[in-house]
Amino acid sequence: MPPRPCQFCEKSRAIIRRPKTGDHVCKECFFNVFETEIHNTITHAKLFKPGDRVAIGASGGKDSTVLAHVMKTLNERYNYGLDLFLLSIDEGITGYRDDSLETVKRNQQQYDLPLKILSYKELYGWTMDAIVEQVGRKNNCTFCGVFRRQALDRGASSLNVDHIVTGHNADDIAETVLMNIMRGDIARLGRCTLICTQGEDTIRRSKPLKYAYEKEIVMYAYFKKLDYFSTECIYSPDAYRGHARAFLKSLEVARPSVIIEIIHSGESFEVAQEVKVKEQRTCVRCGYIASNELCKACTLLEGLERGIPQMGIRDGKKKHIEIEAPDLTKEIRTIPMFKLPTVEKDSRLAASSPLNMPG
Amino acid sequence: MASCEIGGNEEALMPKRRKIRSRSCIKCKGEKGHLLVRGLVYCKTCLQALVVQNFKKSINECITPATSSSTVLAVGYSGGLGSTLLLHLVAQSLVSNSQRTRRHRWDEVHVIHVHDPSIPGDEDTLAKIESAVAAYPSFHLTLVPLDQSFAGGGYEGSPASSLHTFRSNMPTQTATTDGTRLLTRRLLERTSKSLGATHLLLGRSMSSLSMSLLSSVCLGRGFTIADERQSSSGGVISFNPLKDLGSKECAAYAWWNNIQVISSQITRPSLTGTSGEIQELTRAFITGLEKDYPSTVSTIVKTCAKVVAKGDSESECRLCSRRMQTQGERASSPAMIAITARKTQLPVQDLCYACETMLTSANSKSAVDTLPPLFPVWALVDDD
Repeated sequence: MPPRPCQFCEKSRAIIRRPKTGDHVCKECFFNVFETEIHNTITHAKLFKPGDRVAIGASGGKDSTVLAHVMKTLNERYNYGLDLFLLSIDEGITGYRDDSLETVKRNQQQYDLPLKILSYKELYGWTMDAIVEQVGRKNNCTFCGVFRRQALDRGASSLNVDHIVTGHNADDIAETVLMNIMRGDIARLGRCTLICTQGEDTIRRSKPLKYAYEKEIVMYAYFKKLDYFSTECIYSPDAYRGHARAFLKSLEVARPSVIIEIIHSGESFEVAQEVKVKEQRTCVRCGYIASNELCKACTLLEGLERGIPQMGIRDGKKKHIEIEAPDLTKEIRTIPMFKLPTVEKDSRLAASSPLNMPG
Repeated sequence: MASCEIGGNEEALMPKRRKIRSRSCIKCKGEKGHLLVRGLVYCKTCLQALVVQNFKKSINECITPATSSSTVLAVGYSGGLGSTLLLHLVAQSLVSNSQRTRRHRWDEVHVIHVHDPSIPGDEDTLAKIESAVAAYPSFHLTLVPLDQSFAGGGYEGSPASSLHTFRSNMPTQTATTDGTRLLTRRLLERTSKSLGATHLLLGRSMSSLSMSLLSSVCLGRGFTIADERQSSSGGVISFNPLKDLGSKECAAYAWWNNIQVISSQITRPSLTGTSGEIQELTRAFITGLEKDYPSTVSTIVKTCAKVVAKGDSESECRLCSRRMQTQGERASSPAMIAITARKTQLPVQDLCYACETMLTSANSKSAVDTLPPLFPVWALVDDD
């Protein structure tokens, strides 16, 4: 059988069958369509304006490494005019994050981008290893998730950036849609497919790889010979996501476009108006966004500091775990006050007349 | 990146099974329990009462007394557990003479069975269906062959051969099943309308409804997710009165009342049973969930009840006849989703996203050159 030509250029030999479309493509055309789709996503959603300072959430894994590479490429190719930074969070997980951070440090050299590393230890006084030692493996992802979200915003604030981009890919988003349906999380179901989220008191967050398939991200990293770290977190059991992921993978075999279909479904419905969504507040202790008087990170940190890590964790659907009255006289470590970056305020003034991206 | 905080700041573990605290019935407290339903123990009498009560509650929610002046009711009947139970409950609660004082009275009940003559043994199944419906003398049975969707469409050959072409030209097994279900639903709705019914009852239980909902999400039908629970087409309102009952309660009720279910004996080798289709994978997934985490199944139904279509577009898809978003109203443009070398031109315009995908989306086993899709008669002419 003669070699199959690329369906795009019809000259070079096709070496990839695109998981997303089934097209047979050569390496160069694959790079081109992969990058162009991300560019189209960015321009269609008007994610950036010239002069924006953008932090790339970098973990050293395949998604964020590809994101950093593509963002740098597109910024130069289409003259986005962005100041790019790498922002990494060091959760303090021996054998996982220490190794992946080495990858990020190499990426910094390879892509010539400024890097900021903010550690849980520095911000909260606790590493994940220490947290797991105290709380065990059952609820540790709660701590890590809450702490990471706030750490990313604080890292971005210290870099004085407008915007954080993260490497969430299409598979992640489709999984999240399924997961939120399965666990009845209406509020998150409504917003998990948004490409860009921004509350009044938060830094913008975007997912430029929203429509990029995980398989294609791996292919891109492989053929571009990108330097990334490929180990799963040693503390992550996440049974719910595991269920949704296994289901999604089996669906993808039956019809590869299912990932896009699930995202499309998520984008097409919204929360019915009569469903109450909790009002956003500001944490009285650290100034970060909160649903209650204290933000989740302050509640969890107080629990750790007082030796009652169950504080703020729910058992099952509604009930808080009963805990003994804490010793309120003990001095505890708190998180420093959160301040939005100054550039953010300026950009909001300018946001009334957003510019279209070139290209 | 999956471990990132997207959508999950809190621990995302499956809900635990509830501990069974008592062996006696949760309702009457006295009787010994016979069945465990989502962590609660019920005795036989209370569970049967619960089934009837749930059915009546759904009927009262969906049929207001003002609209009950019409005396024609349509009931979709496949021969499966849900629809068989539905027939029994309709006969018992809505048309029996002793219940005449109730607010919903139906002088005519039409039972509609859509069947596929191309399935081996279809005639035997029809005989069983006829005999099952004959047990309710006041019900009228209407048999509708699936290929009626193509009758009068001006296609070459018989409607049966058109149905065969419709299926074989679909790019995937998923699309074939999706298309067949779509035809069945439309035939039920159109037949109900032609019989003068205002309401069409479907026998989907909580379990089968959650399968439909999740499949719909996976097939890109999120915009019309609310229509899976209750929809209106051509003046006929269709809904699922067993939506609050799991398959376990339905099966126990049918067993205790000696209600004969037919469709477990029907074999459909060409339509189901392969792991290569999304609907079958969803069915297996939900069945597994129901066994290990029963409350998740009811959560899926409840979650989908709380979402509505984004936007107020009134355009209608020519194929599925449900509301659709226009290209401009969709959140994402095709060029940002996927740039593809293949250009598929469909002979019919005005299709919703999911129907377009059904007709065009391939997998690794699809034929390289797919033949153009065949459309049922209602997609070719404006007749509704």
